[in-house]
Amino acid sequence: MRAIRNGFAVALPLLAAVGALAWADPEPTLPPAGASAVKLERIDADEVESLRFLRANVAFFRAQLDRVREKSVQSDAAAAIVDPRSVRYQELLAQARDGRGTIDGAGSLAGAEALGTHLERWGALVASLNQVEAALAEQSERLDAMESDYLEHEPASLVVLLRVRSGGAPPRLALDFQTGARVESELSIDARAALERGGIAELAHVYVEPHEQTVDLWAPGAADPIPLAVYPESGRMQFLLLEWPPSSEEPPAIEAAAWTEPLGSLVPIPESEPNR
Amino acid sequence: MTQNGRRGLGASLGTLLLVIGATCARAGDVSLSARNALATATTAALAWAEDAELVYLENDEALDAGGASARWGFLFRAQGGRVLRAYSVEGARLRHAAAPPLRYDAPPVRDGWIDSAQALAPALERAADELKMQPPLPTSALLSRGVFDRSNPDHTTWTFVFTLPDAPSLFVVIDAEDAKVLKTWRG
Repeated sequence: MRAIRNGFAVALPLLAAVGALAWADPEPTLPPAGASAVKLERIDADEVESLRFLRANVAFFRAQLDRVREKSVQSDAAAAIVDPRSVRYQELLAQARDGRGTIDGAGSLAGAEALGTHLERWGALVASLNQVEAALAEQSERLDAMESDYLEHEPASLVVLLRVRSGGAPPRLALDFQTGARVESELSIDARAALERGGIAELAHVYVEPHEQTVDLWAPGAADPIPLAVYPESGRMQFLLLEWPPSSEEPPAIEAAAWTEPLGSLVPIPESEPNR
Repeated sequence: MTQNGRRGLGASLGTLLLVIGATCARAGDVSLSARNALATATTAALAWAEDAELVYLENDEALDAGGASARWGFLFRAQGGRVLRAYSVEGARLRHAAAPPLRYDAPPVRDGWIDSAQALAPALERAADELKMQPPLPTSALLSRGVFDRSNPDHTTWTFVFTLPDAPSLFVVIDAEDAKVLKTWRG
């Protein structure tokens, strides 16, 4: 025990002396060679896996960073010698564009000509339509006039009757009007029988112009017609009663009676002698 | 000093040395949060380059429910990003240091980023909403800037990756300044 006590008594002053030296002299002093050694702590270099997620997805990380990174682009703005071939190419391109423009212009001209042709045709068509329209208007005017004439000037009607005085009735007779119309009348058996009994048969009933005119009566086998002068009036019926056979005089003459009646009225047959 | 007093002093010194020795022996096994592991990595990085800046970190070992990991990986840059240095910190001990065989020219993370423990809680909450179930612990926790928040790439963000069996992984991005959930996606 005493030895320990003596040991502490020696060691503590020694430690105190060392501590006092350390506080008193901040400048380190090299220990004598072989007294101490500095060793580098070995740390794992390859055995430790670190930053695994980043290593596995570094491409994604870098791609995301590229999206937000400001990129500086360096370029040389100084003037440089221009290759004369480039200038020539520009000229050629310009000439090609001019040629294409000319072609386009020619195409436009052809289009204009075609358009002009179409316009001319259109104009002709419009003119034709105008003519048609004018013709329709004129026709309409004519129809209006005809309607007016019909309403204001009622037509005249001519009724030709036949009565047989002696002998038989002619098989047929023909009437020519001044308008060029021709009416051929072939008497039926009943009509001829009625004539033979002293009755009257209708040869023709036509509308005629209301003025004085001549109607030619053609008898069977006659070389010339027998002219009949009539005076139809507007809005009235002109009756002409012929007595058959005509006279044997040359030229032959025929006795007839004529009278007029309002349109739509009953027709009385005169009993008196017909006028000649 | 009496004999008993000296005995007591010797016992106390012995006990203290034992405690210190036990603590040092367990230092490599202790899980730390990212910020607690940062000091070791920063000390080493500043020894490497005076202008060293932290650009990225992720967990090198599995995360626990408190957002801590037994090992964290840090990536520093220097000389404006021309050179990189990676450190892996296990507990309070530097386990690995090397120039990484990759190019990663990201900007440095902003100072004041929240610790992994603070960021994990909202990430777990959002993951539960997305998955309609209690989510597993994320397999990866990443601190970066300019990568995961396209709308505001200047933000420093925590990104937690939830790996799901037979389904695409779920990514939850947390603002590393206010712990708000910025976005989620499956991929």
